[in-house]
Amino acid sequence: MSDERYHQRLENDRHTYRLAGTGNRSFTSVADDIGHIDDLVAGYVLGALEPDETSAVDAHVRTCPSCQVSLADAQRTASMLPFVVPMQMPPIDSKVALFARVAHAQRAAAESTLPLRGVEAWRTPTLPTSAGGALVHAGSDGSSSSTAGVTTSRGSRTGWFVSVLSVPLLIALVATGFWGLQLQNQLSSQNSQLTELQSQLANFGSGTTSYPLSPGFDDPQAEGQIVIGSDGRAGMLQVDVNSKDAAGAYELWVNQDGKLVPAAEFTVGQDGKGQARFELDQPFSDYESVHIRAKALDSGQSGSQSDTLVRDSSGALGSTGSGLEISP
Amino acid sequence: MPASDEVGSPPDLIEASDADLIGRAAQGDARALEVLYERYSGVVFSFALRIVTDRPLAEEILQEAFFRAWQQGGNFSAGRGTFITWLLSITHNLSIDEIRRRRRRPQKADSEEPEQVLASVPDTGSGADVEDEVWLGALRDTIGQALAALPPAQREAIEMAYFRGMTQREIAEALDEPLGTIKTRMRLGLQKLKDALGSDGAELA
Repeated sequence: MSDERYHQRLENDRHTYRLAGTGNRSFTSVADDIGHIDDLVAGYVLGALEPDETSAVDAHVRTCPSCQVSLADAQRTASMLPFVVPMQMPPIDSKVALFARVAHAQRAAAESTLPLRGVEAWRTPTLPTSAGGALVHAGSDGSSSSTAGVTTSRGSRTGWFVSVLSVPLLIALVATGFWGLQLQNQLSSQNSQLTELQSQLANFGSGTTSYPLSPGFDDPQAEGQIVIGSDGRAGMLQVDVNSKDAAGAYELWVNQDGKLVPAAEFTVGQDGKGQARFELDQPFSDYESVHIRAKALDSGQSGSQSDTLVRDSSGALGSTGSGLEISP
Repeated sequence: MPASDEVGSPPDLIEASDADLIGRAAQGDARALEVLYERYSGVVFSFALRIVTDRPLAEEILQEAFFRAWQQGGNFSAGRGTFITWLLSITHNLSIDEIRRRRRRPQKADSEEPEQVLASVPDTGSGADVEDEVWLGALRDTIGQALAALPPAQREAIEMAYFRGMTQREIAEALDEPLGTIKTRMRLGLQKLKDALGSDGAELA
């Protein structure tokens, strides 16, 4: 197609764009074609389309090989734009922080026995659907807080927790015959509580959805998840701030119509871990975002605090992220 | 964390291709990720900084981009493009998301006049090796010349979209121009860039 003819067609169609199935077309590249998603390609690769336009392009290219080529062509050009920026080097701190985060994620993944890949194994645990769940109990120093625990489906952790609870009691029962009967009663009572909690967790685990949280500005090493029950309102929160200096009171805030509303309080212990159960006024999916923050000294004020962990309704990630890979 | 920099990394890693490195990183080899970081942290950081115009935030984006690349390295396919363009697309998405998030929350920064991409900013050095620096410098010159050759209105439309995260509609409103005009400027500008860059673009992608 000659330049003259091309520009004539361009002029004729400059204010319109058409999706597939319109007009007679016989083109070899986007430069030669007016129609399809041609008017949207540039905006698409430059990230300048409205969401509905982006969706239209995504839907169209799935079934249009020609436009796939056009889009790839334009993306190649757009991908060169970052290189026009003069080089500036980041501080060494950035590298240290990145690899500390990577190392931690690797350790966390290694602790998992689930046959999942990399850090995702830790970030996307699910509640057990059977009564094999674990019990997380408040520590004797109150550091773990929370009235009930969140359990993952990792078998080793389950066994560990049960062992922690049961073994000392069993040893005491055998070693101290005088107190045997009393201890047996205690054990029976605890077993009963354990069975009850396991039952609750099993019920909760049916139809639950797990939402990974992402680190915010305050604690870039923090990790956590929220598990929402089948009713969409009851939830469990589990966080690991990954810092021994982060112990203290924390709050879960939900963004309701642009306003942050407290939903739960919990304590992060010296081990950096904390958990809580909560009940939301609205279904979880109705909130624009959730934020985990260290509790302000001035109670009830979210103030200008930065997030420890965060997630928004699109699955977008915390301090810097986007929702590219995580579905709500 | 691995203590060594690229200089101290095993020779097989230093010589490895980006695709090999991200594959190894995805399998848990942090040294491979470190080599990629040494190669591209400057490009990623500079790009993020240009968009968000805030150094601490750009550092966060830098970390997040590499962390995601490490997490999702198993999904990277060399057949769909180079590692660096993939990494920069992650960086772009993260950066644009951030400035749009800030735009939704009124801040004084929104009233500032954004820098022009082609404005001269002195280099502050690079962690990449000399060969990489030469290649990146030549590439920057080529793209800079191609952008400079665009009609100012087309260059402005591309810049407002790509580096400032504005939609076509927002640009049209900001410039008080018809939406169709903005779309046309972007389309023609991108086409001219493609023509000007020619094989450079194909080589990179």
